[in-house]
Amino acid sequence: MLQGFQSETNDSQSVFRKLLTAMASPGSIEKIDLDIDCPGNLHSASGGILLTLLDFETPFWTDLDDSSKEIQWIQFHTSTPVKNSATNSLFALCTHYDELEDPNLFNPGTLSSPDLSTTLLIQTRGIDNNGKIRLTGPGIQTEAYLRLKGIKEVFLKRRARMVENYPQGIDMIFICENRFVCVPRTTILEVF
Amino acid sequence: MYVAVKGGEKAVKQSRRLVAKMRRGPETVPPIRTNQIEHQMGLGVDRVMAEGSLYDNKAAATALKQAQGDTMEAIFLVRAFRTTLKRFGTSAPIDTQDMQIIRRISGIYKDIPGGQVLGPTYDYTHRLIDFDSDEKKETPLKNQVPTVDSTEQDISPQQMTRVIDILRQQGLMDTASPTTPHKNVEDLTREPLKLPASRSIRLQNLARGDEGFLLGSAYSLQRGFGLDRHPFLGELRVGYIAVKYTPPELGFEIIIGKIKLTECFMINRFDGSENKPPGFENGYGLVFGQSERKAMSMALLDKSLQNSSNSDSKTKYPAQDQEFILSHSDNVESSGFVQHLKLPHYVDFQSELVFIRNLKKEHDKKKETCLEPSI
Amino acid sequence: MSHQYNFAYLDEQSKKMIRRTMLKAIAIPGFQVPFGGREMPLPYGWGTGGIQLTAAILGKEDTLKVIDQGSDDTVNAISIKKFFKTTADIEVTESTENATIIQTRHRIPETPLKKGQIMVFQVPIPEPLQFIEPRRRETAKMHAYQEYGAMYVKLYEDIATYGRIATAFDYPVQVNQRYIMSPSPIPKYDNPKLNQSPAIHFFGAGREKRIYAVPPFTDVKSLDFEDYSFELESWNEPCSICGSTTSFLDEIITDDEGTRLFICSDTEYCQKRSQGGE
Repeated sequence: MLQGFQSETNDSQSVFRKLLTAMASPGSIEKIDLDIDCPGNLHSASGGILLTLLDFETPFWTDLDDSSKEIQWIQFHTSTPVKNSATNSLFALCTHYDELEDPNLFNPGTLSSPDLSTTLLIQTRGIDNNGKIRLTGPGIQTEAYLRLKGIKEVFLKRRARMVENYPQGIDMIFICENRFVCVPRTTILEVF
Repeated sequence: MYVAVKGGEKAVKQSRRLVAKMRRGPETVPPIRTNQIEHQMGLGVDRVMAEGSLYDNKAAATALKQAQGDTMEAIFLVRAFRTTLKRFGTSAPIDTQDMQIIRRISGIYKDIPGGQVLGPTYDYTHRLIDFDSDEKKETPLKNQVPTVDSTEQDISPQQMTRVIDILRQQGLMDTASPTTPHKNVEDLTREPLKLPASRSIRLQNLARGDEGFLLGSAYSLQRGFGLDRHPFLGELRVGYIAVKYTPPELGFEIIIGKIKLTECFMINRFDGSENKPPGFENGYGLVFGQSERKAMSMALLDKSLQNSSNSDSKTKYPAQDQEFILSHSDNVESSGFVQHLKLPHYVDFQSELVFIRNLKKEHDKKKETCLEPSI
Repeated sequence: MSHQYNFAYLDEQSKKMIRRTMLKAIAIPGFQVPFGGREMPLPYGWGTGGIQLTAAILGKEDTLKVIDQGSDDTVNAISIKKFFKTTADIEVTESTENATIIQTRHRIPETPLKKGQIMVFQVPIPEPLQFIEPRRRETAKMHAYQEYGAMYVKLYEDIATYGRIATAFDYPVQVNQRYIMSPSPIPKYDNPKLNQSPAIHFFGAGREKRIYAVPPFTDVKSLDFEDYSFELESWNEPCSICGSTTSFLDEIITDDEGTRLFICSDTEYCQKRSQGGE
């Protein structure tokens, strides 16, 4: 089994701070500077974030095989209960970004408990700020732009419509290797 | 000039020194030992364990010493210690049938299988302060009175049927749905209180709730603020019970310790409804250590909250109201919040001053204009 | 019995839970997220919510500032600073500018906050509707359906009775055009500092077990009416130490005759100004 964090206290704190910054500034790309050796197809930012947030209290869904080494690694280090339904998950990880079409498959929480919703991690082919997705909303001073390589337009368009259901919604983290960017439910998305 | 600008650090340091000095008292008196507190102030220790939610006599006795006997302060110390302890598993549910009884009484039958066991109780002592207690020679009690205590190693459970089971056999009491102990018991100390709360959470809340608050609330029920009939004490038992746990690495159950508990069933008459035949209903209390007052209050409140938990309708009296009881029972919370008023609030008060001065100015102006003679 | 505590006191499992809650709080500005608040070695009411947040955020590289009533040296601020110095061995500072995390009770510093800074507010009563409706089940519904009529009725009654809104501190705000939120008992003077602030603002209520947040660059509007707009406190005299006419002033009684003196509540700001000769 590959090692997780070198130091649970320091590494999880540093990942969390990056995550906090990213979630508070949608569209701004953060980088995880940790020497973390994730198995198989798991990007290091995914590994770092999952180890930082998951434990036995967080139902988790992923499109990876139940017996895959990625899942074994995640479970070994976090004891997270792996679910076979995306709707019941508090955290979810998508690695087949090219198959992802509907963000409504995940749990948007309820009107009185919008916090009981899925936080969705999506591994992509690339992320940068030179794209045609325009972001506005809390955390963004004026506007931000994003390119998410490999993410289908239909997925983004459906996500764009989800702001109508606010405060219900899905908070998303797009990942490429050790870099990631957050798009929480409050962010207004326009795709040109 | 009082300006809380500088000197805070020094003041805090000095205050800590003073409290240490006050705690110790005059040095001509020998310092009290924690084992003396543990064994000679056992009921105080029991209360600290119950409301501190931690069965640890040593920690509770040490906390009492550190708090100069201030029970709530000691409870707080134990709670703060408790949060830092790592959980390693869930013990098996206990069955109080197996309790090694030191005291067991029922108010509803003259005699019961296993008998009424009066045991150690202040109930029939005369409350006369024994001012000579320091001077008295100790007469060895060991040979006169048989005792059971936690230091005795083996547990020989002497099975005593619960009185409530006798009523159940006769079909006069709801059969408790033997709730299969599921793996993930909700834990009030790990999750925020959700309302309406399940019975398990309600009982957890009451079990660690403030004895005084529970007592006063239960008393209000008895005085008609929630009960329309006299309740009965089905059974009260105090004794020791083994706690069992299966370590995953062993794979079989082992006894990890013995704890003292007080258990209480309160019984109320139920005249029947469309869906439910007439019979009796019960409320349940279970508390660490020997605390009969608390266990009985808890049982009365458990029943009262069961009645009110089913309907969404507003309840009439405080002790029927889940949110009222559950949100105000914890003395670490209430003591903190009431006493936080000691902290400086001068910024907020300044805002109030500005507001009130403006309001007063207008008030005075209005008065003046009213006094002007009209033409 | 010696007992080794973890970095910043809290165990990693508790930090994880608090961190998850904080991310949700940032994603739903102004919504009070319930969390499994832990008992801390300081009493409820002394800032246990704020302390838990700070403990979950804090890293070795951080510089922490703690203020109470605007002052770095009030007894509770000292005690909290000491707690983190002992359990986390981090840098502490009085300088608003140099701090990465500022834990506060009842004030927002006068020095403008910067991007990347995190404010942690200690909150006694997180529910802005509490004094209108004490039942949590009811207030939860009011927030869910944005039924804030009762709040406006209360404010309107103030105007009818006093000719103005009577709330002087803990003045309710609406965040991102959605949730009504308690800014904690800061004077309403500080409310505008929350609007479109470049810093992240976290609010922690330990006893009530709630965490909420305002992300940077988010609309935070103090509730008012078109014809009765939100007003700030003002003083007729400047600070008698630094001469500031734009800061929140404390009133000091200097003798038995009730002679009054006004000085900045933000002691670091005041000191900086008087030393800098502004």
